[in-house]
Amino acid sequence: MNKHLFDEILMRVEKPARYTGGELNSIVKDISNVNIRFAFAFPDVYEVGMSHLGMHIIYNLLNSYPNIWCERVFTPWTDMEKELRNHQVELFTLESNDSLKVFDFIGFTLQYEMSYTNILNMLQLSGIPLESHKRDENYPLIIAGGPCAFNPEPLHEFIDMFFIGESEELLPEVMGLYEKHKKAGYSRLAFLKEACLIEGIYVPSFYDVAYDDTGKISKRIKLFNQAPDVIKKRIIKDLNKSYFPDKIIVPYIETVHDRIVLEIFRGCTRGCRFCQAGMIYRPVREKSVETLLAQAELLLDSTGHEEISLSSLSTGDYSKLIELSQALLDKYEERRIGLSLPSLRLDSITFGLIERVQKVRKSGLTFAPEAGSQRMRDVINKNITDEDILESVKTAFELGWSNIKLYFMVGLPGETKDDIYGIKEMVYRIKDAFFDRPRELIRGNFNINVSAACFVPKPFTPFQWDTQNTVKEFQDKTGYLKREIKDRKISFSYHDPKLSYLEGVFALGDRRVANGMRRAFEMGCTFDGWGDEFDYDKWLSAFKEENLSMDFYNCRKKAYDEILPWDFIDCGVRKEYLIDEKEKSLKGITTDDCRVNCSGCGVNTSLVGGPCFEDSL
Amino acid sequence: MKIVFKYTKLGKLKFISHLDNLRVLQRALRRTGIMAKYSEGFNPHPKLCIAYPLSLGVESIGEIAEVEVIEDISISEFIARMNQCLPQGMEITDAGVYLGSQSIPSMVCSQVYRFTISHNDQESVDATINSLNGLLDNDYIIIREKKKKSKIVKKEMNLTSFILNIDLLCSKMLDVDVQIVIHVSDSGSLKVDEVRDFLYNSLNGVKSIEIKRIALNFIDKVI
Ligand code: SF4
Repeated sequence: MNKHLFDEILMRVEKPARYTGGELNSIVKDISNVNIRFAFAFPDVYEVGMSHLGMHIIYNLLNSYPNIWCERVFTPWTDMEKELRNHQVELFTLESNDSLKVFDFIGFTLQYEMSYTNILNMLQLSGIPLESHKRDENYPLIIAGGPCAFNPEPLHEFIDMFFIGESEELLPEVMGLYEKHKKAGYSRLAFLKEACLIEGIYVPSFYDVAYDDTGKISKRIKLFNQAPDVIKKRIIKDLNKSYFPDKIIVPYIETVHDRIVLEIFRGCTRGCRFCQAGMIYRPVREKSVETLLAQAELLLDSTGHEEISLSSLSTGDYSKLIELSQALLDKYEERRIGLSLPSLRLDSITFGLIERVQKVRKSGLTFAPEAGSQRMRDVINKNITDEDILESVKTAFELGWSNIKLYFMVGLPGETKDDIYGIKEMVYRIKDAFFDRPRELIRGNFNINVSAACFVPKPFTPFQWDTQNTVKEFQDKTGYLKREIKDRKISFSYHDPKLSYLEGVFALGDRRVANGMRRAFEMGCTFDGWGDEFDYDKWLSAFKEENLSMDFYNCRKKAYDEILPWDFIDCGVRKEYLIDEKEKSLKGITTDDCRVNCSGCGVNTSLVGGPCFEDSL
Repeated sequence: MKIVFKYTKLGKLKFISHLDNLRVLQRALRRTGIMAKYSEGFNPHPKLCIAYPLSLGVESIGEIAEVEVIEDISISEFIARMNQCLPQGMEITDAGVYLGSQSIPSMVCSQVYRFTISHNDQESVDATINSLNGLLDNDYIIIREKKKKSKIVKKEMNLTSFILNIDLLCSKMLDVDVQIVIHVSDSGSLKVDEVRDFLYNSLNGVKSIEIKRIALNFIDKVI
């Protein structure tokens, strides 16, 4: 694209720095020295994508190989999309400004289902055919990974190759194979045939799926004999040894999380039954304090960020949390670098720590009881009691907090009106706890932010066979809470039931929903996750035109022996374990935290080959 | 110790807004490890301020900013360390200790720009050069609209009364470079877009205009 036109377009769009590139630590290579050009594609706007740690890891990992140049591309916002279409400019990467078409690979990260139409849009804007079978050697290979790849089927038609699990080791292996093929004269099919043999790789075009007359999957058929029957997820055994970048790109513009995200461990030991991440990232693997301190230093020095966020699925469970936090504070307090400790339980041990953290930089306080009643929390295996929560908030109030956030879910399996009512009760008990104190201790402007998400059953959880609430049911429940929680000091918000419903369709969908997705995209659906842009009616008519029922996927109770679309993927956790957990949930029986007692999910035998903890088993 | 420094904002950086510009400088300062004074409050930031905002899309070789540091550091070391941490296109070209008490932004009295006017033909180039001297003779009224609550308030201004000078710098092929000095007063200043429109309307055969800020002038010496 000529520079004049580029400048002219940028002057007309909102936040032009989304498209300029050239940020500190971004990497530009000489194309005559590289063999593989890789475009890391994040199917959302720049500010969202740049906040994602995984992108920075992969970007730097690939660029650490001299023969590979990895660049970035994000979904252009609607204003930029119009400019590109009007001027017939193909979607380009930020580093070289070259069209995506000239790349060897375009790698999409699948973080949430509602970004899928953006993938189609990005391909179309690049002049690349959407369907895998329409692409030949002249087009890039379109690959995808990330949490949503654990049910890849809704995207099977568009993606050439999925990466299942953690790809820090897998990606370089595949790149190595590609280079070999490229040198020997590249054939797309020959490459895919060899690549599918690598553990963790799924090539959907090598399989077909047959359905019975009720529409359920009857069997999977292999179209290439050697392709594996089961795709095993990849896992990094020792996070301390896995690749970590020594510097990351510093955006010019404000991003969603303008801070350093330090991943302190992967996996989670709690076993909440609704949580997909808690199942697919098993077993828990911690990074050492030394590793984390070194990584924090590298990132702080190279970015100049003002805050470190300790990230994980349940930060309070990190075994050396106090030690790590103290060390970080000792080192960075003076530089006013704040520490944020999401999802931390407040008790006597953490009290002092929190007090110290608050002195540097105040952060908000969030609690996630997830359900309002004890009964429901037992069903979902969220092992905290009303008392735990109340004690924590009381501690928080003593420490001077007056603003807290509470997260709940509605539409959980077997939910009754009482469970919903329990949400209101808990919120009001917390309010009372604030005001039931001696007058002189009550300080600050009290406010509770209550947010309710609509439950979406996810693959590889004990609730994968469950039905989701209908849009109407969700609306009744959220509407009820909205009416009941009427208080100047409490604000209540909830996720859009329609969006959550559609999310359920794609989370649980099979190959056939791809047609609904393509149709909706053709009708103009993109940026579905962005409230204003979401047009549910279009989605309804798209599915109708394609003769697809949404309810078939998310509003139908499935039997344990039904073949589920994602059954061919082995995430390490045995199906029998999930069934067991589902049965226990029906009886309201809880399961111990892995740190207390191993409940034998199977991940230790199938993937890691040894106990998850030294003292377990 | 207050340090005032002059820096460039070139290339892609012209697409960075005033607020983002501030953030880029603050981050760079953090990366240098130089100890700065912090603002009070919920979210402390290094005390750093930019003298005068620059319009989006305009490059500059004469931006001025001020920072308060709390360690003894020589000016040359400050420049060297900052430049190591600034993105490409942003570079500190001069700096000095500031001893005055008045805040830098309140001392700006004019902004100096270079307008590169590209023409369609040689005839227009000659016409532009000839008309430069008389360009400010007449009033040129612009209307600004401001939203006040729900009402739109219109304000008339005479653009030429805000332009202190127009000088020919050079002319090469079909390009004419002129330097324009715009007055900054308590009642405001002009936007470069307004001056650009003024040139488009007052001159003939203009194909495009590129603008670069060259300097800011202050009522007293700041560096
Ligand atoms: S094998 Fe046991 S300890 Fe390991 S993740 Fe599974 S249940 Fe937890």
